[in-house]
Amino acid sequence: MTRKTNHKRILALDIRPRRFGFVAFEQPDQLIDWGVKSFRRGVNAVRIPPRRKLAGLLDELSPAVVVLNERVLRVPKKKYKIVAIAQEEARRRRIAIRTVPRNALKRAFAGHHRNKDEIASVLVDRFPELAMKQPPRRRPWQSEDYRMSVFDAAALAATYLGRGSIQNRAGLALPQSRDSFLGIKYATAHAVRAVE
Amino acid sequence: MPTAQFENYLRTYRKKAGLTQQEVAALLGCREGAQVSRYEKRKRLPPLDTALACEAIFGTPTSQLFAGIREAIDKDVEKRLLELRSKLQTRSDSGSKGSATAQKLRWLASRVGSHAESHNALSS
Repeated sequence: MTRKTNHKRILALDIRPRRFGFVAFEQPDQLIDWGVKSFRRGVNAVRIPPRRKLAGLLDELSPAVVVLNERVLRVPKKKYKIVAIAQEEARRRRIAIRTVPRNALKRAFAGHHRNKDEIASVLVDRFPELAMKQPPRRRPWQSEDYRMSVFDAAALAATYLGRGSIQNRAGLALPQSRDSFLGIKYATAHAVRAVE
Repeated sequence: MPTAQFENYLRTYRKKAGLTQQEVAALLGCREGAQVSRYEKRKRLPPLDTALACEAIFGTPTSQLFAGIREAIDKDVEKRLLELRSKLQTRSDSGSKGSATAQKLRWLASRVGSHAESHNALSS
């Protein structure tokens, strides 16, 4: 961020039916922006349409790559219009789209992929600035906190960037199993797929 | 191809500090957070006193907070330094004017060299 970067700026999006979480990295260890944008309907409907929100984000951050979860591309377009919008807006700006499959994410966070709360804790250890966004541990009868989208997006970005082990960089004393250490490399080299 | 730097990183530093735009506005002595939003979105360029106040608030040098602007200015200045050097090199002064030109050229040689070095250090 403070130095002229040799890395591409990436924007990871965690797309949900009524909101999307985003995280932008300039270098693997430089988080530059994060948050959740909602486009819910109903009584408290958000007036700004999702397309404008997404376009504004892409214009503001001007990333070189947009990272998505592979799962969202498998959902029918009619159900997840926002995915089609994201692809369209990225294509219009000539931004490459990359997807990260679920198993790559699991490998990247090997030993911590039991649930999202654990992954969020690992990410907070690595990026303390996200601590403010960390939701309380979800109870079985509760629905997922909207802030979890930020951590899902951050996990996607970390997996995509995949430089070394997240656990190692977080300074956690974990056994360097083949999966945890090589997982991210595998994710970057093989599992991360280009959409365009 | 590497991505160009942002004009400023005010939003990043504000979010890292956990401050709201209103709080930063209050610290800057602005009336409302909307002004901070304009600076963050690069719609307005903050005046020098505001830029220095940002440096004081976030404890980060202005050149880092406004990295993109700094980079652009560096490039422009370097270009102008080279122009001045080539202009001075074509001169054929003698006497005191000549020694003054020689002194300027020496200074420019060190300046352009150090400028290029600092630029390369930033790039690496």
